[in-house]
Amino acid sequence: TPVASREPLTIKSDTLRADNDKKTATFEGKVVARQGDLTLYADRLVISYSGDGKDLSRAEAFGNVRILQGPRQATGAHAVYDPKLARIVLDGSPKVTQGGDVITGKLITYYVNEQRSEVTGGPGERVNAVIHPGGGKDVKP
Amino acid sequence: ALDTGVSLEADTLKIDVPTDSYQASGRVRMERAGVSLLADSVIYHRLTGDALAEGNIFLQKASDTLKGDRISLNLKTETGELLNGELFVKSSNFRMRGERVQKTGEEDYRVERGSFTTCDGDLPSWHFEARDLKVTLDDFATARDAVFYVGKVPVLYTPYLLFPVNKERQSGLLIPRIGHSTKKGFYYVQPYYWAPTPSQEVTFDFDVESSRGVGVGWDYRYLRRGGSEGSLQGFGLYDTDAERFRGELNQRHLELLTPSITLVSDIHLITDRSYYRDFSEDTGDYNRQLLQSNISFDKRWERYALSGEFRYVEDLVSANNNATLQNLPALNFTAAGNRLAGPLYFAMDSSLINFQRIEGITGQRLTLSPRLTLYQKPAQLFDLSVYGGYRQQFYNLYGADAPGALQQAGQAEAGSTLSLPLARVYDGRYRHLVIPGLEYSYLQEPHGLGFTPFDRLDQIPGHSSLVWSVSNLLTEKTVKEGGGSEYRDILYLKLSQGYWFTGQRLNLLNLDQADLGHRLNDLMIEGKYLPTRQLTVSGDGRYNAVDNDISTANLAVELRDGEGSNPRLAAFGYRYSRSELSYLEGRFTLPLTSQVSASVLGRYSFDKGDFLESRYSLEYKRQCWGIVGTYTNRPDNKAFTVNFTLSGVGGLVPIRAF
Amino acid sequence: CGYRAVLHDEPLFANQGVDVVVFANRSYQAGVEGVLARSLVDELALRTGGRVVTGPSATLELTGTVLSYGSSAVSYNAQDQIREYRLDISVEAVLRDRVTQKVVWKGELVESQTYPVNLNLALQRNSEEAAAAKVCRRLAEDIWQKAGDRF
Repeated sequence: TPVASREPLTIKSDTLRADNDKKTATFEGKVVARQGDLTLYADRLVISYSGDGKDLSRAEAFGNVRILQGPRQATGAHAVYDPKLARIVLDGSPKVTQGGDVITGKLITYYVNEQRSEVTGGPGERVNAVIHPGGGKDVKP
Repeated sequence: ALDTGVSLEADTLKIDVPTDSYQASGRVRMERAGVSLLADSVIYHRLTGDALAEGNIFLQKASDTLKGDRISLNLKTETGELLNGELFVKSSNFRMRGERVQKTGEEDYRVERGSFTTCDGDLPSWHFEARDLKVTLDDFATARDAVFYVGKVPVLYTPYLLFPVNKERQSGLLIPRIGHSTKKGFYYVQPYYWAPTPSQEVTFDFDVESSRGVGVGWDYRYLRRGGSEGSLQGFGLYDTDAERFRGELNQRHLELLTPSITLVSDIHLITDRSYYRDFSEDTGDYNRQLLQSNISFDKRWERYALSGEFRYVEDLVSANNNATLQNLPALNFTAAGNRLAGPLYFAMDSSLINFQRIEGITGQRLTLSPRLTLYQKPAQLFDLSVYGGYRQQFYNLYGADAPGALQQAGQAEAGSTLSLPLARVYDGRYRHLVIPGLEYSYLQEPHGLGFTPFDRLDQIPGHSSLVWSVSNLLTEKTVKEGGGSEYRDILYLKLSQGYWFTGQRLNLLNLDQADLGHRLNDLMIEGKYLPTRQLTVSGDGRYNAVDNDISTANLAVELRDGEGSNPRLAAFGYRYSRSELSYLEGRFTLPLTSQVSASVLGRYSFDKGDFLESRYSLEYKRQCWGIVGTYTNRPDNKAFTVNFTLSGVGGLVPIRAF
Repeated sequence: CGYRAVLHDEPLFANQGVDVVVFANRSYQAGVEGVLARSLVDELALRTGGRVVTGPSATLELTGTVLSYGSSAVSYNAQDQIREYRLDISVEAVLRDRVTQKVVWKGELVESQTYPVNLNLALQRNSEEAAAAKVCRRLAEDIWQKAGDRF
């Protein structure tokens, strides 16, 4: 399984509501979720887990979502994290910034382990990127 | 190019961090430092600056564009390679195609087996195909093993070809001129243009004339390091009519030996005195009055100038050249003006000339004319100068009626100028500068020599005179967006008149001398009026107050076409000197349709009551080629020429229909 | 009447003085730079009340190049023979601050003057030289007026 998901996931928030039937937990108010070198901030985070309550099957963040991993940072209005695919999909005028580069689009797919991301545009929102040349050492994630 | 960022726009963008590469697809648009690239897909490696773009490539820089199927380009060095590419330079409509177009620098391209033209469309009226083609934007395209096609038909081959890729530079190429004239009969002129290096160019000119035989012309020009330059131009023909070789040789060279020493040669030789009348087409050449050759040097210091010159003049109007005075050599030394003390200045002109000629007095003349001048600003208002000096000449004369060896002649001179420059600015935009002035000058009667062996400077008539003048200058100021301001003179107008208390006037500048005898000489008016940047009206005139008559009246009007290829749209000139000259010259170009324009030149002599020359030409101009027919009517020479032109490539001679 | 003396507002006058250096000559006509230099010194000394000085003591420096000197025929008689020429002289001039080398004014100027043909070519030469002297005086006046164009 992908390395990241074996790291402990710690979440802080103002309030927590658990729903054992639906096996979901809703954190609200200045949510800060950390797993390995990845940190997620959001207004509200809904995580759902499967089977025996240990494996996280999905996490969905709403409102001022911000993901930090090394020098890479991504923001958006809404994000869905799929641990099996180690992938976070951001939308709601998402933005990736990395060193001096800024990339915006309609949808950003962020591969946690593979240091890869993909930005797709839509009818109204073309992908837009400003890339600074040379890219010195410090930018390496 | 600056290391500025790259902006990128696409439908989708994949970012691969380890390799620091960006893969964009879907109507991709990349922008960097004024260069924009459109493509279906682009892979961009940030570290190296390499970009591989595929599908509907459109690269644009300023107004020049590159189109093609696939391009691998390094954005930092702006070099790369384009498959199946086409370069288009907007300023000269220059279009180059090739399977492999290499971009070898910011402004440089290279194509193997490429073709180029300035015609629009896929079926150009003419184009060149070349084995190897190099283009530098806004400069030159050089081709090796080039074939010239008219439509699909190969017409001409040339191993080497230089083609201007910007509008200004007109250079002749392989475009023939054909025609018929009274003097030449039917003729065909085949030019051939070659520039071995960017700083040298030569135009050969093979001239076949039915009534005079076959001739060769060449015009070789070169530039050298340090601003030196020169040219060697000539024409030679075995004249079957006159049964002898006839021709001309013109050599010019300007050598900047050091920043303060310049050497010049300006040599003109002809085989016979009527060469120009028979072989030249334009006025000023076929009726040339004299031919002057000189070899000279200039040496300058901060405030002194020394120049020396061997000058030989051939008088083409008189029966022979025996009486023509030659300066072999002439030395001139000028002290331009040094401040001795306070506002007192010393200046001097001096010359030593060795006059030679076949018939008439010869010898040497040394002239020294020092002058002291005092400059003052009385009441901080007026500009006053007072001067005194002496003109001393020494002669060494030889020849039948020469009065023995050393002679000398001297004249004292004195004078003063007083002027009051006043200016007023009208609503911050127009400044009117008006300078009323008075000039008194005294020259002692010449004594010593008693006759004039060489020229007017031997015996300048003594006089004392007072000249009043008022000169006006109206200048317009326009503020540029950048904030700086630009000044343009709109009107210059000067009125002047003199009164000769004693002695005689020396009028070297006018044909008409009627007022020499009068104390009050002519009222003179000189003016230049530029209402717009395209229109200039200039003129001068002299009114003889004593005889109540016009002595001279000259007027010139010129209308320019902004930046058009033929700068002068229309020009009229009338020159009148009482009992000496009345002459009118007019030329204008009339666009009849968008493609056809007619030009007319007329030179009318009122003295003769008839035209001296008239020229009519019709130019049919297509998008990338043109044809000019010109008919010249001169009493002793009626000529008709046809001249093809390719746009971006003029006829041999820069396009002068006449 | 609103007119005032052209004096203190122009750069030429406001400084310690201007050094007029003999122009370079690229016109294939030897000696013309000497005639121009005399006119320039005379005109600028007249207009600045004798403030044309040499090198070190000047705050401004006027240098330049004679670009071209040429006569072209402008009128013809009944036999289509040339009767008058027009002499054109073009120069490029630069007025600089001697210390900072900053350009105060720079321009390219051309002036012309007609002169008559004379069957005696030596006398025609005198007319050409008189025309050249008048053109140089006009160029000197132009340079003084242009350098003071601050309004």
